Amino acid sequence: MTLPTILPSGRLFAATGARRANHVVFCLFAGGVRNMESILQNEGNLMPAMLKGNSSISSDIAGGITPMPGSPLPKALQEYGTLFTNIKFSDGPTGHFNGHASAITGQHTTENLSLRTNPPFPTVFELYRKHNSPSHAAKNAWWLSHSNSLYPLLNHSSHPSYGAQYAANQIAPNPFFQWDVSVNLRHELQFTDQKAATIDELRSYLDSNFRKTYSLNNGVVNNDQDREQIVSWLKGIQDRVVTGALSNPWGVQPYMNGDQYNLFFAEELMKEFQPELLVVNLFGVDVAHDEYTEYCDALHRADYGVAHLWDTIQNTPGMKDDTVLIVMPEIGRNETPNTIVDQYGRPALDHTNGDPMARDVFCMVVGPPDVISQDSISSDLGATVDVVPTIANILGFDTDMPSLPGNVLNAAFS
Amino acid sequence: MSIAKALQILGLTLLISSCQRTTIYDVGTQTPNIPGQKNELKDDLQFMTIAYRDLYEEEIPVSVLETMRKAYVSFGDKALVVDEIVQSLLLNPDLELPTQQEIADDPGAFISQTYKRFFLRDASDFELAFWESQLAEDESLTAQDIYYVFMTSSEYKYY
Repeated sequence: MTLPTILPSGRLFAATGARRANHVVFCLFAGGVRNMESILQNEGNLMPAMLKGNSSISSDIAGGITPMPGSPLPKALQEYGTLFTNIKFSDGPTGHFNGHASAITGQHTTENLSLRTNPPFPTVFELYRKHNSPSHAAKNAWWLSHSNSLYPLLNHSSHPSYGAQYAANQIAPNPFFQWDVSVNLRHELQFTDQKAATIDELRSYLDSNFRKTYSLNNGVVNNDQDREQIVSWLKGIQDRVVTGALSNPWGVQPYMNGDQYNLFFAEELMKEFQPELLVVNLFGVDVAHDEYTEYCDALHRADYGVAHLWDTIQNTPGMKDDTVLIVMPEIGRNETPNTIVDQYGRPALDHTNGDPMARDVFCMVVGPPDVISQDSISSDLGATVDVVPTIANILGFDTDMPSLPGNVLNAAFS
Repeated sequence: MSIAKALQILGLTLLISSCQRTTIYDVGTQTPNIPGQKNELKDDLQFMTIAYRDLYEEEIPVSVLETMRKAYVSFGDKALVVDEIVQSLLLNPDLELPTQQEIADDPGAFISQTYKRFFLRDASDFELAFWESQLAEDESLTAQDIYYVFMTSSEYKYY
């Protein structure tokens, strides 16, 4: 007979909607990653900051792998949680946008998924903002996309019951914080309280003479106070761009790549806002279409970046010991290479629907020991659509939201 | 060329701008509307393009529009970005604004020109009287302040 557990609160069972942690960071380790080069370590351990193992990198490609600084973590990231080795992108075309859309909506996608509009199913951001109790402002949900093309669409859906009113704040920091934008586009009009009030009154006068019911495509909407904080944060980053303070802030030689910068900006954002839900993606590995060894190098760089991200989480007040980090590629890559051979003699890899290996990925869930099972490996069959219900379960809004096709990755929990 | 046609071309050129660098931006010529006839909501690219032309009285350079577009598509809170763009346009040292003295010398002319500049119409007598009284009451109001109010008003979102 199993006796009910008496919780510290005095309840016999956890209340519905109880949270396991107050923050989730979901790193889409994207661009298409095969298990062979990641968790199976067929080229040696290309991801020593995330994965256990000391096997040397294959000698024929070792010259193409950029040495990274030592991991900021005292042990491999997987030891802080559970590694799922048998996750499938089970349905839909094995393309990047489909993979992202599945991972962020928790729904399978088809060839009909439009690349021009927001997805038809609510995203995890909308589910969180609509069903979490109490509801939180957009400042608590962020989508940091590697690119400003296509992927920004994933901050909200076109679903009639959700949409922009429940969207995440979205930023593609790499283009947004480029030099030309940082120098030329700035919030610098300084209005005193009295002047600001006058400005508002004068605008109200103009608006009273022009009554239109208009609906602007404003995307996510922040309240005035949050917008002020966001503007201040943007200006702070822009100032550092202009002064050169953000030139290789991690000291990666000879340079930081776009994935690493995206993670850096995610860290800066966490320090400022401590969001409850943050999704950030990587994309550098997609160079595998043309350059296999550069793909391995991008994996190696991403590995360091994710460890850096976890280290920052553990050094960020408000997120330390209260954050679950989920890391998962959106799709895999083909077993059969294409015909492009790189300078190291290695053939390149695409990701096509007919190749089963393009559907195999891993998922790593790390977090505090009282929440996440430590140094654990699960070979249970799972799916990329399982991440959204898992996030909902961690943040405690799963009981109120519509059912999804995926399952909670319960094996991750202590 | 009609505005709709011109904007179709603008959209197409933006779509392919990552592949082709020889891009021409042209939004055609705006026809002044009288109040109540502004029914078309400017989309955000139109807004940026028109805002630049209203302030600088010349077509927006491709590089400037590209910087604006980059910021616009990279940030989810579109109203925040558009506000940032308006502020940046107004703060550009190359922008020639009427001085306080010029406004004080002939506030009616300043208001009339401001209505024509941004709303493409004449101010009504009532509007003229309102603004002249505001300028008289608050001498700290600058052309930059007034332009910011006009450019962030509802009417300016339409053409």
